Amino acid sequence: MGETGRRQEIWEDVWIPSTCGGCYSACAIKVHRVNGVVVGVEGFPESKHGPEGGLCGKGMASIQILYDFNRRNVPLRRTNPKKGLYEEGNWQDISWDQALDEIAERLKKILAEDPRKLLVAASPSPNPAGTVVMQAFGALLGTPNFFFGGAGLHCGSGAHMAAGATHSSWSHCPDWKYGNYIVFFGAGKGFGSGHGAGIMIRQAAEARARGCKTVVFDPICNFSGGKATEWIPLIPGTDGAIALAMTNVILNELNIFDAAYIKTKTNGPYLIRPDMRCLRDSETQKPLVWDIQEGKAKPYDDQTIRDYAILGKYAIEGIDCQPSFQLIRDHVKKYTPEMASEISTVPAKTIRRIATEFANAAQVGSTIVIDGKELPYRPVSAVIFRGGQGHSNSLHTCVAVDRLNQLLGAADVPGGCLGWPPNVMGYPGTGRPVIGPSAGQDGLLVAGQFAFHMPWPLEEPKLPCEMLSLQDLFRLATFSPYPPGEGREELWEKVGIDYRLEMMLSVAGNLPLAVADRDTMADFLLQIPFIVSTDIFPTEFAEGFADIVLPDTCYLETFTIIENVPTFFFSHAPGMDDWHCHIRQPVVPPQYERRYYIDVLTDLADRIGARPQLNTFFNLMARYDEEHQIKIDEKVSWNDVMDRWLKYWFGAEHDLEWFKKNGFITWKKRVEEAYFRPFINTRVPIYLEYMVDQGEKTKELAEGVGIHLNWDQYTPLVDWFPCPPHEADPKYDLYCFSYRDILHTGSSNIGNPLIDEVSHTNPYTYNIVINTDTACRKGLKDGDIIEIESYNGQKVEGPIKTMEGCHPQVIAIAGTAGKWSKGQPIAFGKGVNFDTLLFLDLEHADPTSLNLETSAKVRICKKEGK
Amino acid sequence: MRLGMVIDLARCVGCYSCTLACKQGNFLPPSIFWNRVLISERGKYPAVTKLIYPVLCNHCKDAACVRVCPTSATTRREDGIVLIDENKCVGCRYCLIACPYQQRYFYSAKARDRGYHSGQGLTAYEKLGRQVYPLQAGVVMKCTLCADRIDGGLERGLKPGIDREATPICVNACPASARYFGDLDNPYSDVSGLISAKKGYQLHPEFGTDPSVYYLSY
Repeated sequence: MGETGRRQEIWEDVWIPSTCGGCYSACAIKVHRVNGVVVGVEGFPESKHGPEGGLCGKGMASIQILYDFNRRNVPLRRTNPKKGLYEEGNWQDISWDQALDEIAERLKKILAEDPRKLLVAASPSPNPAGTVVMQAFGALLGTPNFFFGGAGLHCGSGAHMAAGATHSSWSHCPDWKYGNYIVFFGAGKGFGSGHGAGIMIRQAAEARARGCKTVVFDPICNFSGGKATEWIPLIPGTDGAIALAMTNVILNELNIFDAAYIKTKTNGPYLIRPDMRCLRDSETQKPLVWDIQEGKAKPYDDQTIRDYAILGKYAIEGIDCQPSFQLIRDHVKKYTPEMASEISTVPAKTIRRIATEFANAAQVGSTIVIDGKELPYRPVSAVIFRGGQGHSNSLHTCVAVDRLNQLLGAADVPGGCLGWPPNVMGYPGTGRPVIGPSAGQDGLLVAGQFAFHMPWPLEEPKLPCEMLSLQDLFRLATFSPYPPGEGREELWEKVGIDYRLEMMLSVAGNLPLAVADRDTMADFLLQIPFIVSTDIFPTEFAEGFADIVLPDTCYLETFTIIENVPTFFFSHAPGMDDWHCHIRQPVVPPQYERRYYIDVLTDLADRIGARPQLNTFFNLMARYDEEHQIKIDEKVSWNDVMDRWLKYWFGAEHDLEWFKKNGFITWKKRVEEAYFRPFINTRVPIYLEYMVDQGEKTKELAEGVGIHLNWDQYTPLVDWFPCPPHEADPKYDLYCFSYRDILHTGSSNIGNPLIDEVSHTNPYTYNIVINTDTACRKGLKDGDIIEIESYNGQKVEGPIKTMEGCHPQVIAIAGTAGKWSKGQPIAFGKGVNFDTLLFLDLEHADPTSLNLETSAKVRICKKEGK
Repeated sequence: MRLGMVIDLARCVGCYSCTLACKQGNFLPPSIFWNRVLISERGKYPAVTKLIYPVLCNHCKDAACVRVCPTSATTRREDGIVLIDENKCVGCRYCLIACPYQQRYFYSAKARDRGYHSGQGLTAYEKLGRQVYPLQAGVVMKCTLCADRIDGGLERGLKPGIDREATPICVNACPASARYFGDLDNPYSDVSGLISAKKGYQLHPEFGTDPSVYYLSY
């Protein structure tokens, strides 16, 4: 057919501005609609909120969600009482009124009895803000019980706590624009996964093209390792030992550190008593420091201090004290590169060389002028995320890695390690919103905002617990393996929980597939009498355990702004890229009876008389002043909320209609926003004094009720601790871990037929990766089917693919695959389910941050005849 | 004029955006790829280099496919784009065997009716594609360098490789800006500049077909 013929048939050809729903990063996109059908998508060339015109593969393919035959289209009610793993369920179509009335009736009863009997749950894909919305909505209804699905447990109890306390941010990342030397510890920044995925791809590609070096510690040479200047294999869970050995080399062998930064931007000068606590002013209780000029101790914020001591020993009123920096410097001496080498298998000379290169590349003392302001210039960063942090030594490891930046002054300055811009000074036309880090208790950094719990100041551990997650006892935890964890009943008895769950409201998330040991999870879910699952596709969770299923809209049918307002905590471009606020809007109306979950929550809130709570939540999100607040009983729709919110922040002319047409608003980022550190007088805890108090109190309370953990991790001096896989029965001879594949967003897009087709062209995605020599020694070759038996007793099987770029003691599996849901025929049986190989209990969690151990020890055998 | 492409391997992250943008933009049916990403590795543990090569039709200056086509269905245009005239192609697949880069696919009549959701029918996206952008079955197909976009763009005074609407979809799609497009005959074009400054190379020059796709090493 010629061009003319085509044109005659095309009666509509438009591009709609929106944001991508391929993962939680919500990059700016333009969606192509022809004759009412979505046919394509592009990045947004005029916006830096993404890859500036490009879009990653999973974003590109994600438009196929819209027309997938396997979508949820109508509300459903389970008609057979049998629930469990691998159950399919019998389902009856019901109306929205029937579904919401039934949910409302049960919810009202529970809220009247004891709101804590409600568990809210969410996962960040496909609704990035779903976790925040659900947790806040639940809290306003009166329940402290929230579960974050697999993504939370796996990606960041330690990383978020550490980054919150140091960068006022949900995680940290390199300053790709000005950085020259970047060390990754199990992080995929720039490879299509994690926060700001598209932005990171763009910024990292520019950096590589101009010669920026990247060193990647990772058990496999796949994504970030595959493009690194240098890939360094290690045993999972040993990143912290390497970071501490690098610290030792830098401080004690090279004697390089940024003294000015340590003195003014950290608690390095704080004097530490023999009992490991800060020496404090008797009147104000402020930590004391030693003024070298006057030779006396003063409160840290005394304006007369001319120079802080960070080295030496001082006797103050008979108490021997040392600046915490001196303690740290001495403490890390035991972490010789040789010791770290024995733990990690990385050669000592490599650790020494990388430490030396890193410290020298920091150019301590250098400055750079940006927009007329002279700032410290530290073109190095050490960055950790999902891989390095996913262990039972998570918090210490994250602090050990980030502290490399702090000691060299390479934090939130040009070239250094940055937070997702946490200092927002407002749209110039209105001055809104304003949010940013500040100095709090002891002068330490308080995050401008933080999801789930504030990293500083910390709350007191307490008993009895209110939260089934035990987070009132473990105050350093962003997430927790509980409530579903093993031994929960016994633990809840011990911590004095006198209620049990009666209902679960979940938006996305696929708990039996994507968290850990599926039997433990199933056992937990079976105890909840009534479960509501809101999702786009049928999942193992909904099929096996839900009582009512609600069909969510996909991003192409959705109106929202939460993910892209400048206060959203992980989607904006770090560094000097301008601010952008994009709208997500329906490219086609919601098909069938699908409804956006926030519209559903609004409807539900009205049915249960919770409008005041809902409007309180809306007011909190938009940070309205008193004059603009939504009245608590006002029946506003979600679209009204967005309209008012946008006008409040960006002026009356920039209403929802304006955004629908224009897609986004942009304004210049200020140097103070991109690099807040020199401008805001706060300090970073490089010495974790809080561990002393938290440890003592948590231990006393926990031991008092018979909970025994390795309390050694509550130490203010950062250490490396072995993880359960390091100490497992040697008959399990291999480590097994999962990695984020560049095309996959958790388990949410594995059923996409285009993603599936292309995944088959990748040699590793659907296979178990094993080192070539290791396979040979075990008599295995490519394509052999092996059975993996975990040290937790669970078994999975799948084909192997040998890889030279894989640590010989490790096998790797792309997560999250191995689906068994009958409702997703394309995804069914593809890949291998790694998560079930993990323990889900307190013994396999970080005793401080409760981060779950996400590597396993396994043994493998060939499945004969397969 | 000789239109060609430069792929910067330092920038490419192997995200398959080119593959998927091409598939969607051209409504390609299952199992047919005009853009692929080849993944492998080189070296022995631990001195390993991962190899990521995005590949597509090389639009060779001395193309084997042009030489062997018995019906002159495959021709090389004046701007260097190698195209298949689907009305002349008889589906003999000689070109498919002759192409040393294995960039050609045979689109069977059976494949035409097959959608991505086996046994569930065609999606609205697939139906519209077949209606408005029909691909002829029973012939060989491959990357066209988005010739229709280039031609349409040129008609409107746009410049290939500079203006997005006159540039191949895969170039626009790349989130790492790893792809450059332009006139290899013009020494002042971006592509020529990159090839000379960064020692751009062709894959398998020993095949002797003089590809118009160059790579910058990492």
